[in-house]
Amino acid sequence: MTEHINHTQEITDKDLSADDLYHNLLMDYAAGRLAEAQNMIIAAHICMSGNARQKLRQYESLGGYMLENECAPVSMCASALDNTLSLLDQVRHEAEHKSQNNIFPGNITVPTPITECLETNRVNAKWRMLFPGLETFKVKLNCPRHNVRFIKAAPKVKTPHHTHGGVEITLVLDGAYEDEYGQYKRGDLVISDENQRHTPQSCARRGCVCLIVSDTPVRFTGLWRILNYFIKI
Amino acid sequence: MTMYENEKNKDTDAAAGLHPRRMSDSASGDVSYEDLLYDVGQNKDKDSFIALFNYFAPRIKSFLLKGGASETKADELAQETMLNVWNKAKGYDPTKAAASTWIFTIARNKRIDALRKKKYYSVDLDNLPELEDETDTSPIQNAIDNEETHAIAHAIHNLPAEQADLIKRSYFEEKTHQEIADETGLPLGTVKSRIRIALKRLRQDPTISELWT
Repeated sequence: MTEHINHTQEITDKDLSADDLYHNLLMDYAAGRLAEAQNMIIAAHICMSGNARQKLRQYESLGGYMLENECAPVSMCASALDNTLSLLDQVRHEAEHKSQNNIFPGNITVPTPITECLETNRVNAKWRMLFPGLETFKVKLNCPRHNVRFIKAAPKVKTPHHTHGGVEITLVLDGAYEDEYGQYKRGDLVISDENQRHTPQSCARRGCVCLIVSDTPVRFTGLWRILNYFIKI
Repeated sequence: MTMYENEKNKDTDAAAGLHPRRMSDSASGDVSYEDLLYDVGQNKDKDSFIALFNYFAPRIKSFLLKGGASETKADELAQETMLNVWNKAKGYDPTKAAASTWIFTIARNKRIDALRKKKYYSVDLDNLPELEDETDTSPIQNAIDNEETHAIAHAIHNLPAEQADLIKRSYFEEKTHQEIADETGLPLGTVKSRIRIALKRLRQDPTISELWT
C-alpha cells in the first residue's frame, strides 16, 4: 500500500492512521523506549513477522545513522582503550538463562518475549472463562496505563460489538480471526483506534489465541452494554 | 553544502576523514567499518578492534551523555559496549546491517540495562529462528554501499528542524511518550501525534520511501 501525499504538504493529525502508529511503535522499539506492555507485544510480533523484522532493521539503521552522525565524538578517558584491551582475552561465561519450558497454557508455541514476560512477572497462566467459548487471563505489568491480557476463542466465536476507549493492539498467536475490517492470521498485529467499533469472530477451524494490549478497558456497545457491568476484560 | 558534510567537517576524528565510513589505507585501499567489524568477528583481530574503538567509542559516549548518563558513567558504559562488540562480533553479518547499525543496537541495549533498570524485551535479529514464510531474506545491500546512510542524512536534513529534533530525541532519550508528556506538560495526544507526523514526513521523503518500501 503506497500513500500518495505530496511530501512538502503539511501533515496534520487527521492524516495519521493506524499505519503511522505501527511505524512509530517499531521506531520506538528500535530506539529502546517503549513502555513494558508495548515493548513485549512488539518484540513478540517481530519474532513472528518477516515484514516487522525488515522494518525494525530500517529503524535500527536510523539509529546507526544517529550514532554515527548526530553524536559528536566526546573524548574517552586516557586509559579507556588500554583498559578495554586488557579485558578482551578474559573468558566470558554467557549468563544466558533461557528457559525452555513453555509455561503458556495449552498446546501453543509462543515467542520468547511472552514466556519471558510470564516468568518474570510470575503470572498464573491459566485460562478463565469469560463466557462460553471465550477464555482469558490478565497480566499485570509495570506500566499501569496499559491493560494486558490473553484471550482464547473456540472456533466461530463472536465477541459482542465493542469499542475501545483508546488504542488496542492485538497480536494473533495462534489460529485466526476476522472482523468488519479484515482477516488476521498468526503473527499479524492489528491496531484499532478509539473510534473503531468491531465484532471479531474467530476462524472456523482452529479458533484463535491472541495477546491484547490496550490503553483502557473494552466497552461493549448496543444492547451488549449490560456486559460492561459484569465483565472486565 | 549539505548539513551532512557540515557535520563531517566538524569531526576531527582522524580516522573519519571526509568519507565517514571508509578508512583510508594506502596499502590495501579503502577499508570500511563493516570490514573491520567482520575481521574482529572472524579473526579476533585486535588492530581492527582498536580502529573501531577509536572511531565508535567517542560516539557511543556522546550517545550515552545525550541519554542522561554522567561523564564517568558514559565513559564506563562506552567501554563496556565496545567489549560487547568484541564478544558478539562473531554474529555480525555485513550483508544484513551496517557496522554503525549493529553497534548502535549493542549500545542501546547497554543503555537500557544500565540506565533504565527496567525490563526490556529485546530481540536479537542476528539470532532469530527463520520464519517458515520468510519474507525477510533480502539482504540489505544498501547497508554495504552506503546508499541508506546518505538517504537518511538527506531526509533528516529536509525535515523542518523541530521535526528532525523530535526524531533524534527519540533515539537519544529513552523516555516514553507518557514521560515526555508529564515532563513538558503537553497533552499525551499531542506528544504522540507530533512524533508520528515527523516520522510520516521522513517516510515520505522520495529516496527513503523508495528504499524502505
